[in-house]
Amino acid sequence: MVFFLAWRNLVRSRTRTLLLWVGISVSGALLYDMVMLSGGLEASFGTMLKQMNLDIRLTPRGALPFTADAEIRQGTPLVEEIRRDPRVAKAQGYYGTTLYWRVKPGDVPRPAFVIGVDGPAPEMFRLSSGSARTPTSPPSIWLNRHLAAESGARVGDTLEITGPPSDAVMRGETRVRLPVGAIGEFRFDSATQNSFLAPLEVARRLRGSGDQDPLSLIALRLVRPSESPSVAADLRRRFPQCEVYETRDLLARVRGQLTYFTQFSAILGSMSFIVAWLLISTLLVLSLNDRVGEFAVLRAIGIRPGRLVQVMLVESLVFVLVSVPSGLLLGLVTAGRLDALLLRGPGLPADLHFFVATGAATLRTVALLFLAGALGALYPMIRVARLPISSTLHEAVT
Amino acid sequence: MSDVNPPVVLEARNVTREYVVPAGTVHALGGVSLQVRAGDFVAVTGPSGCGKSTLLHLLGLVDEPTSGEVLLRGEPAGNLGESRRASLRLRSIGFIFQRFYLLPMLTAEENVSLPMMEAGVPAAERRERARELLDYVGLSNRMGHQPSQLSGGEMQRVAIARALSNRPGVVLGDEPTGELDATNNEHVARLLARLAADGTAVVVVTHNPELASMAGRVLRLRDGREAE
Repeated sequence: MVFFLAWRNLVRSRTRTLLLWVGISVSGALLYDMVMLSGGLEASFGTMLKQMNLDIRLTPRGALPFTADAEIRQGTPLVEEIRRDPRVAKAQGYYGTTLYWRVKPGDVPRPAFVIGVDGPAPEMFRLSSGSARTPTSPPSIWLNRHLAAESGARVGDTLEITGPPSDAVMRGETRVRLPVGAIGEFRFDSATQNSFLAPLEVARRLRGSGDQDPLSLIALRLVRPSESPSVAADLRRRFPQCEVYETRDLLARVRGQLTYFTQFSAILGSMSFIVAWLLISTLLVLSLNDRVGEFAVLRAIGIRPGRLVQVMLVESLVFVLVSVPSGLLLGLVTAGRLDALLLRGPGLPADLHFFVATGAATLRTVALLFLAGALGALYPMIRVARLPISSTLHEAVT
Repeated sequence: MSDVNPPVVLEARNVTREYVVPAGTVHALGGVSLQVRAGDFVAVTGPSGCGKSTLLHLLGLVDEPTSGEVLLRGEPAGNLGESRRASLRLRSIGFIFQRFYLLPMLTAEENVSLPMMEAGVPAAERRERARELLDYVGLSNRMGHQPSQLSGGEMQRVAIARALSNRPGVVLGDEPTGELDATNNEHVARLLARLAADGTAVVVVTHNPELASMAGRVLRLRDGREAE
């Protein structure tokens, strides 16, 4: 009987139901966007880290990967020592720096971010064309799509790579011409960034830092990822000159840096929750005021107060139920637009997303909307339960 | 001779009702007694504000007396908890209102079925009984119509059918002909008289002298008391 009455009441006031549907859909969409935003960057960053399939990262003390010019000095023996640990399946050193490129002599050299490697680096670079296994043998450079487009280079063409503009460069001492071995994407590139992968030795030589054997990052994959905490603890003890990050440490650091987004989404999310609650509550109260005589009559003919309380609650929850699909859909559409807008910001990895529609975010939004529905029905439910039948009937007639 | 009198189904014993309002205490009803037997047709009349509806609400267990007793089938019922009183209203008392108060989004049949749904009557039985009752009030051809598609008289007849749905011993009417034209007035009055003749106790509050004249007994109230 409860569902029967609740449904018929919704159908009875179609304009009101329509308005409420639109209202809950819009506030639900905003709520969904804010819930997605609150965890989106972290979820997106987590996915990117997971796709790299690395367990531990070592960086210079006080630095995050590739965020500063800081270097780990004498990095090669350190990598060799780590590789000897039987718990380590792979250890790879990376040298990140800025080099310059030009298509032909006479062109103005332009900067690009470079990662120097001494072996295959699929965790860093996704190949889209070219069949080389590594940029080291034979020596080649692997361009990201943006650089390939800007230089017009294709696999097999050559580019001239130089160190920073200086007297040495002008004399041609730090200049090399290398073939393009592959084109693809770095995982953390922004949409407009020029980057390429180069042999470690070439990158160091062009920067004039080869004798210091510098590395920016040493990344490890473990035989058993579950051993990550104990291996990380050992590495921290053995190499105090390095920061040692497990994947979860990086996520925690990112979470700390995203407080702004978390607070922003919490404030706007709370407001959209309150709007949904107020909307439901207001329309239910108006609806109850219109039907108060009817409720008094229902009570008079013996319908239990608890039953009518249930009718109010179910009406509210049905309002939410019919609005949830449209709210989520609208939320996804607006999240897509907002995400594209925010990703236009400088220096943001193209693969990163501010709004991520995870199952948890969707469930949380739906739960919050139903909570708003239940809270919105609270006052009307109390009024129905305490409705004085006799005086209400008197007032309804007079 | 001893079994000629039908059983008393509803009784008010010296009931009073006072309301406390900011201006003071209002004595709506001051010591009224009434005994209603199965098959009785009682009309309660009197000027506006004399306590007719208050008495009806006390008899119908939608309000509690300040003092005195209301007995349903000999059992004190006026001061029971709301849940128990709701159950008694559902199964033992039928209500008819001046403004019909049918649910506008339900058909005539569904309106009649509503109290049966609450009472847990199985769906097939509900349908059958609703049809019987609508036939009884002469609306077997209007079962699928919504209240907006019915005339005032037809709506009141549906309300009477709804009042009878759980086979109550007593039907209470609050100005049941108050919003009807002369033709429908007479039709509903006759229906109520027929109800009483069929064994259901009927108590109506009315200003309508024609309806009162059809009642077997008239209780006249003035200033909350039985008029001499």
